[in-house]
Amino acid sequence: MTVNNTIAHQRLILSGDRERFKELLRRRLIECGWRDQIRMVCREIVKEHDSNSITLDMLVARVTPRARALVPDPVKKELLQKIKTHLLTQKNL
Amino acid sequence: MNTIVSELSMNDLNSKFFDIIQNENNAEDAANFIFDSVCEDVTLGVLFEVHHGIKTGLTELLEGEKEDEEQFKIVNSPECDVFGFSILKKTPDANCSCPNCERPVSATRFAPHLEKCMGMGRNSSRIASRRIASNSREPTSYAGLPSDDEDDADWSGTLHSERRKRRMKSSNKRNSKIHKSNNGNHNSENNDGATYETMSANEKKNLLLQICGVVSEHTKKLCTRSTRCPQHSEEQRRALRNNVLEPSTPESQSMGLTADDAGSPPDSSPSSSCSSSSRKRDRHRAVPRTKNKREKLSPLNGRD
Amino acid sequence: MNDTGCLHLSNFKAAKGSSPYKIVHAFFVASTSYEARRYKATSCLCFSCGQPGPRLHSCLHCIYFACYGGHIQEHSKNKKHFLYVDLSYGNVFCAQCQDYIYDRELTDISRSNRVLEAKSLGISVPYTPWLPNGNEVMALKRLRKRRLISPHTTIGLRGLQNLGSTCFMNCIVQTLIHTPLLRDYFLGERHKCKTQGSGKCLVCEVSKLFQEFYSGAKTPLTLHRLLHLIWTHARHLAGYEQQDAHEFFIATLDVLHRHCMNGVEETEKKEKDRCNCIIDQIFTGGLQSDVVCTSCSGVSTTIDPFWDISLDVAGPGSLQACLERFTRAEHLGSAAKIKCSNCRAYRESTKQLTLETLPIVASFHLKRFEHSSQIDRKISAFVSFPAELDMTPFMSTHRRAVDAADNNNDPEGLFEDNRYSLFAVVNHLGSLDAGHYTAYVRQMKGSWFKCDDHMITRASLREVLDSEGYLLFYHKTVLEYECDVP
Repeated sequence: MTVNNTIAHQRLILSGDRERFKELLRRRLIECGWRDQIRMVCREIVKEHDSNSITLDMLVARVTPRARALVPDPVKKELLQKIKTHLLTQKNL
Repeated sequence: MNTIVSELSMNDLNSKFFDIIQNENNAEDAANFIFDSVCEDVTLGVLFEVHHGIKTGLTELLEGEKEDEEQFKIVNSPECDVFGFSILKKTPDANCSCPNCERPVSATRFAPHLEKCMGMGRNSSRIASRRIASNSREPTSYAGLPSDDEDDADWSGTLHSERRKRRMKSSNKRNSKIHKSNNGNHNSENNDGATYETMSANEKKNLLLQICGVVSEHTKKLCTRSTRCPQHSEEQRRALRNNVLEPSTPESQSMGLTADDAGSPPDSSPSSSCSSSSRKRDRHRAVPRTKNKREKLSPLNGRD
Repeated sequence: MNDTGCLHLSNFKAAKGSSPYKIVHAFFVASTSYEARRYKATSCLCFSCGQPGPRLHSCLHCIYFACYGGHIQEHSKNKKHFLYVDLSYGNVFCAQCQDYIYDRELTDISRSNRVLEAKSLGISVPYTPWLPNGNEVMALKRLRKRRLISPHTTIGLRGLQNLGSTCFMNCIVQTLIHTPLLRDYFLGERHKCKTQGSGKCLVCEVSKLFQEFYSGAKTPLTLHRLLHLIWTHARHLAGYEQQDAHEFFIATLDVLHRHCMNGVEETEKKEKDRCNCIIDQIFTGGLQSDVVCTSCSGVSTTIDPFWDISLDVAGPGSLQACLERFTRAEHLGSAAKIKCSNCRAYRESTKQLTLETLPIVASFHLKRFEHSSQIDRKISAFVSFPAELDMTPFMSTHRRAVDAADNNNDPEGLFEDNRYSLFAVVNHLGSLDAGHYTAYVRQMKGSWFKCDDHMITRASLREVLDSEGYLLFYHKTVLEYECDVP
């Protein structure tokens, strides 16, 4: 199962579409305010600590689960639908 | 047996991929997997930005100290505008310095002043006639059209504006550049009855480089407005020049044909529907020139 | 700025330079070509578990890919290869510092690769935050105070004196000042003038205006110099009587455009049409005209630049309805036959206008004033206009794409976004003879103001949308993001 997913994933890297979808998702998440929300969450965390001691992994551990939950459903649906359609309509390279 | 595949072949990415994707469930799973991967990536991007800002000090540098906002606070009152000025009070007046004549002018009356000062509008034709009647024999210093481009040539240096100021002060000299400015100093009370019969060929030629020149039907007087005066059409001006000037003079050919229309971008028409003006006077709009013609016979299949 | 990396990275660079990083980045982080993507697709999997993630990294010391779930850390410890690069963004992790470290030289390499990658993928370069150079850092350190635009302050707002029926000019100036991209251009001091402050450059004058608007001063401004400049360079606007705001808008754009060219902005071409000045970049769109011969179905296409769209007002309706009429195919009757180059004869035809390229700022002019030999009148029919407008139905691509291929596979199609947001409205009140112009402008999303010469008051979006509307200004949505006002 995961081998299938890996193959599909790598295929999109090859066609360049993984980057394109990433850019599309990024734009949608900026528009809906998600990015600003995440930055606010980060600000809170940073306040609690001395700025010298903040590592990226700290931020990842604290923020990622919330970030995932905050992605609006319509955005998720749009991307899922587009990715799926795209996979199904890929042509031979 | 579980072999770790840490490399794929192109065959994997093509044929094997197509086999897998035939099954819609696989496509669904893969889409979810890819979405999660991409989503995590985007999140990581934001976190990296925040982390970068902290570690390099950029965030602190950009944030600085917030200015005190109290002094700029919007006033929330039905009797005031956002600055706190009463909405009942009349327009506050002030003085400003006219960029044309450098005199102080009341702000609320600046526009009518500027109009006269720059020699435009209804009364200026009378003033211009006086000027023409008392013109000097100064040959024109250019052969081209009086167009706004001349102004652009002006500001390559301040020398030109100095020269112009000097000319303005000596009121009897006619400006050979486009600025028909500051003609208010004329006292010569000449009649405005100049007609083409009494002028020499050279005078006619010079004159028609400056003014519209079309003879009015009822007054029989020359129109002394600018060469782009809206009262008369380009055809009228062309016809007049054909009649009045010798046929070989370039002025009769070139007049008004390639006027730089400052009303629209150099080669653009404000779409094919020319807009009409909300002003009472009927404005002539130069016929939009479509300079960007690209003729193609078959339907385009994509943006260039 | 603290972006010189760490001691360990410096030692590595001293020994091996920045090539290892460059190579890894160009192939495996931001693949700059199809070939590179091939390598990435086939070999970027964790050497330990075969997964494409999470957070794949490349060792900087040797060829080894591994995920962040323990495998790259393992490799690092075992081989004492302390530096590894994340393949999502190209950031370097130093195992000795136990965190990602930032080195300006590597950051610059990363950014230029991103540009190449975007080109290779056929998409626009993703936005990256601004990084100040040495001088800029010093300036930021020295000048610590920051002024913010907020919906609670008057920063960005100023009243404008009426100089004698010059409300038409005041409204257009308010519109231009509140055009976000123009604001960014001028406040970023992008205009480098060649006229040495002669006072004749309209662009310089506008630049000064922006400074005034953001100065925090509250007294109304007098636009006497601006009026003089425009009347000087657009003689056809002669005359003191009430003028048309629309004509003034076009004339102003034209003079700015010409003065930008004369000021010669950096990448200027010598052609007379579309230079790359800020005015063209923001306001110029392309209008496509397709004339189809009814006999042979041959299509003749022309594309003309435009700065605004003038729409007929045919009774009450909506802006979208006006645009629909504007882009509708019209049959040109037998009195208007065109010469078909295919048939080599005069034929009847249909003509259709569509929008080929949309400008960043789309300006609409509702033709409310009619002048004819019999009558002069103002059409006050209510035309509703939305706060958000999707221009897709009026585009050439859309009209053509009825039976076209799936947009999903087209890289442009994925990002096609024709959404626009209203940011300014100019209204004409009163009759033809005695009228007055006012403008509504948007300072931030959700924060609107009414500009009535020197009187600036808060307005609701409702009030704006209920107004009559003469000139409507829309800005492409996706270029900006603003936070909501609570």
